[in-house]
Amino acid sequence: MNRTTSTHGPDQSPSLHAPYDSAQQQRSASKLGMWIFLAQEILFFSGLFMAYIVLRFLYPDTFLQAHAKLSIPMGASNTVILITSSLTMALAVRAAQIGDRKGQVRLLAATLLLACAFLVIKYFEYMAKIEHGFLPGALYTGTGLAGKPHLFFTMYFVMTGLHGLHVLAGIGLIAWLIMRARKGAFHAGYHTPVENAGLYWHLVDLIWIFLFPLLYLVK
Amino acid sequence: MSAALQTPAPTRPPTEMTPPSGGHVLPVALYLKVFGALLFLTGVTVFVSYLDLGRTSIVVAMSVAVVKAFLVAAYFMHLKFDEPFHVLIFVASILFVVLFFALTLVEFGSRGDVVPEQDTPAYEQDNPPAAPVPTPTPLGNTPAAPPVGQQQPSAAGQCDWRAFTASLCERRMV
Repeated sequence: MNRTTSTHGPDQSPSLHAPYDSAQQQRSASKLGMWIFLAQEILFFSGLFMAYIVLRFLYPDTFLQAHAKLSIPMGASNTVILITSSLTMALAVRAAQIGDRKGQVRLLAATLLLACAFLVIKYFEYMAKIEHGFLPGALYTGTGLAGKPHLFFTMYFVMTGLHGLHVLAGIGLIAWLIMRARKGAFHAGYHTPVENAGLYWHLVDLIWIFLFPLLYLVK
Repeated sequence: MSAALQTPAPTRPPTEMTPPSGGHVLPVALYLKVFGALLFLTGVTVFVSYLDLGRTSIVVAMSVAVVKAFLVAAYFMHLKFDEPFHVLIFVASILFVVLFFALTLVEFGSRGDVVPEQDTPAYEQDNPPAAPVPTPTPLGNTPAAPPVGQQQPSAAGQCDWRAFTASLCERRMV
């Protein structure tokens, strides 16, 4: 990013760009853009949630039976992993706010590790489904489930798959942040990318908070 | 553009320091408390799912999820201490999602209510389903006779696309 020399008062960090008059205004505009993106992400996922609601309404018994093939311990572990990664992310933002460079790198690295752990568990879950033929839609070749289980597994794979892609994107984002943070790009005067990546990561956690009971804990 | 365009930050609790670019530093203890609450609520969700609550179990699960979402949004995402406009954006998106769900469910739930011949898809009018879908058998037993139109994978594991598409019509999915 371009670094323009500041010519104004002491609250202007070296990363201030035109047309902003102050670092606070720049940060505020940046966060506004991020929040609008998050609003879009919520609406993006709402289409899948709507499909889930309709299908569950149509085939409650299918959902009740088919969801038993999912592993609640693995799902619950993933939930705990994501919530912990949200904590480390929030603490990383805080470290950036107080100018603690080592702290932010360590906490971002912890977030990255937890995100990878989430994907590893997802990998094992998917492998187990694929082995038994519990696949989405027309690919379904599983046995032992009555009703229309391919519909449940369509929702399972599409929703967790899309969420997993968001986790993957988040991993790339956090890795980029770590590389910049190690060079000291983020300090008390400027840490907006860390804040915005934090917002994105918390949203990924939020979506999983709703996915977990809907897919794993059907009653 | 002048400082008058900057949104004044809402009053916030005493913090260790305020960074020069604005924002607010929250104490680590607060983050840890929220974290603990989130873990506890996750445990509650899993525990309650093993109880037999019938139709209210989904309500309970979603209510707990909403509380967790509020904690993440208010504290981890700093909405409680942030500019109110960001809260508006977040809440507005949720309101639109609720609107989306409500209208779709109203339409979906009232299909076939008005004029049966007009509301039944043409395919089903010409070929009414032969037999009702049998009640689900217990886990471990494959159903002996598959319902009309259900997709049948052949011995080689191939998919019968024609039957699958026909079954979509039968089930009013298209």
